[in-house]
Amino acid sequence: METENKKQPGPIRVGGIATLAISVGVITAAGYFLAAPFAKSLISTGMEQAFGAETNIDSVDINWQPFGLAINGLKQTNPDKLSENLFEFNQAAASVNLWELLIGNVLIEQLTVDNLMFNTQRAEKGEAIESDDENEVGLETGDSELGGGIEVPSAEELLAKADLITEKKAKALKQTWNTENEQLKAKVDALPSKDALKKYEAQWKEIENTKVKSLEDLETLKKKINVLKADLKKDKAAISELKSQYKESKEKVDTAYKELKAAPDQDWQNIKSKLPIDDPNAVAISKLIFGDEVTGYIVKAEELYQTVKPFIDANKEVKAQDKLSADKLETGRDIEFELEDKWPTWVIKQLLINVVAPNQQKFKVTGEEINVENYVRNKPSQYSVNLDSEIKGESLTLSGKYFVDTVGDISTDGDWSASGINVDSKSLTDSSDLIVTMQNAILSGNGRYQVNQQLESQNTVSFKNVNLVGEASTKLAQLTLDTLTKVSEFNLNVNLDGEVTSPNISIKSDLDNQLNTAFKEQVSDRWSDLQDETKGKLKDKLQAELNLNAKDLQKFNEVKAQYEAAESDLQKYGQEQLDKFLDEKKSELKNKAKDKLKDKLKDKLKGFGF
Amino acid sequence: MISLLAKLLSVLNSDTKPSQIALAIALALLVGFNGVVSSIGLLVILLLFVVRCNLTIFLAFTAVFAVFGKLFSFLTHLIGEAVLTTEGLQSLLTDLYQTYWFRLDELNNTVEMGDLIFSVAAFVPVYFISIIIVNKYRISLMGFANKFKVVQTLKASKFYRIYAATQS
Repeated sequence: METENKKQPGPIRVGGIATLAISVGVITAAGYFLAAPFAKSLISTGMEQAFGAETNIDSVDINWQPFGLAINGLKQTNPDKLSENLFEFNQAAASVNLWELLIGNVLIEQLTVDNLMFNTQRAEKGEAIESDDENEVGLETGDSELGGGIEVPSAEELLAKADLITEKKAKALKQTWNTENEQLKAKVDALPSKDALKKYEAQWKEIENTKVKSLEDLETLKKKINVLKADLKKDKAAISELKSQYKESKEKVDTAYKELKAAPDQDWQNIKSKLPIDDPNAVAISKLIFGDEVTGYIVKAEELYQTVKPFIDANKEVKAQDKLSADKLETGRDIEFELEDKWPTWVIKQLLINVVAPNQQKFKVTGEEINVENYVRNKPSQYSVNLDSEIKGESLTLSGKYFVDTVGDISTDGDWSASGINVDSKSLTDSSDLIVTMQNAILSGNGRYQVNQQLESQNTVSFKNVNLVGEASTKLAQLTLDTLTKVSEFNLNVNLDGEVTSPNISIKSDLDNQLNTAFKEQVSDRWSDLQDETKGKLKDKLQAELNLNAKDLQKFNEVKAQYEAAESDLQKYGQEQLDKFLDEKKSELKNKAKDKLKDKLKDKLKGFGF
Repeated sequence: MISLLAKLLSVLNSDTKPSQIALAIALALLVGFNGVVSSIGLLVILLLFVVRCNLTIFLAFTAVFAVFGKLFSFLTHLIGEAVLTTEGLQSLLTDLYQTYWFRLDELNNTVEMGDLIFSVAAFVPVYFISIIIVNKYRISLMGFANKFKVVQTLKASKFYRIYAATQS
């Protein structure tokens, strides 16, 4: 009966409503009061794990309407140098679209970072935190290939590197000389000896002293002369052979010698053609000086590119994996409808960062639609950097946009302009032989760049009120430095093209033109000295290699004298002389016979009364 | 498991209104098929605070319907596919897709959409069928079930008394 009288409860739970109200109140209060400390702890732990060093945060504020987060006074210790902050800022505030966050997209409506500074000193040394992920990928930046010093090589270095014709021709001459010398020696040995000459002398005297009184005597004389003639014929042939050998050898040696004499000049021409001797412009003064600086910026840009690239790749991988797992689970099919506002995985719609550079210059970095999936909204990300200077006339602006497509390729283009920028103590080149520092200058310039698989950039920079100082350790470097210190203004054109990671750099400057005349004169003198020195060395090399000194040449001439003497010695025993002698003797005998007949005739005619 | 079954029997055997039990079953159908972390799931949780229904039945049947949801996903996939690809609904669905709750619930997924449609469509029939079943049970089987010692022990326990008090 008791049960029947009991009032049945209504469909609404009054106690439940109260419980709901209390629960919502408690949750809201807990969120309101605990969210900020919880977020601070979460951010600092996350950053400490990511950077591997202590992170200090003054406070974190959470705004609920619109939903957002503000981090106040963040200092991130540099893990490599604990006494320094890697970066710090006064405040970073971000307003986030909560609904998009719930869907999984980080849509930051506005992100502002105030007073961002890098590499600042810490009041107290920070602590190193052991990171869970030690796989940090560092980007090695090798030495610039463009840096190279200005060095005029020594004559010895030039000769050592060159493939010298002089050496080859010297060897050829030496070989010719040795061959021809051997042949001449053999022919000289075949010349009549002194004994042979004495013998000829004795034979000749005997012939001379031969009294020709009768035809028998004449016949005997004729025989003696024929014997002498036969002996002489062999020796004369030897002289003749020596003579023609000498002629042939001399021709060969002369040719080789002439070639050798011409070789040093040919060598010098070869050396000269490979060196910027006649055209000091080729020494690319501006490239040598500014090459390092430009390369430095390119390396920085490449570092940034390499830093961003993994995020893009990782994003692509995650998406691919998501797709794969969805396929595996077979939990239905996602049907896509056209969204009026599509958002990438993360995006910063408005970005504003106030950066304080180490030289205390303030820069305002702004951005719109910053993300790495531009294809989602088909909207490029825009960025700009502006110098916030208090100095009148000083300005620097850079603005550009980039687009990351579906395959993760980045294309970007933009332009920059600067005017009245004060350059304080800027090291331009620090090579082994030349250190150039721009102590002060006023920089103005403009340029544009475009990266679409290939890099293309044209930049013009002009420097005024320039004061260049430095140190030089070589003669040419000193020449360059001397000339540079006289420069008060110059323009610089820097063009880049080719692959982003290894672009071709072309640096042209009217500095080259300004310096050219002075440089050319001085460099020409230096090269002229080098030319003389190198040629002298070539000559020395020639003599040393050749070993063809005056004594050798005298020896060569002696051969000539030898065969001339032998020829002279035998000249009186010549065919004509011997025939003449014989004819004289014949004539003498004839005359004698005539006289004798005359006398006989006179005697006989005396009887007839004549 | 036995304890849960005993509790269920105890509830069925109690003086709890059949409509409260049926509502708990119907709400469990919504949560079981759509999940707690969904717009409809959260709405049901809020309703549980406000509307009087049996929580034990709700919890037990949520688990049962969750299993059913997985088992019949091939069916809900077909329902979802049919709805999402219907030409005449494209404009409406596109408009709905612009809303956050639609995307949060992933209702562009065929299974999710099928689960929602099926559970909502089955809500009213399940409610009334449950009332009928509870009434039928109480008329024909309650006497038999009350003879179980385990039900008697449970009804005599302190926990049950506190539970019964909260129901009032």
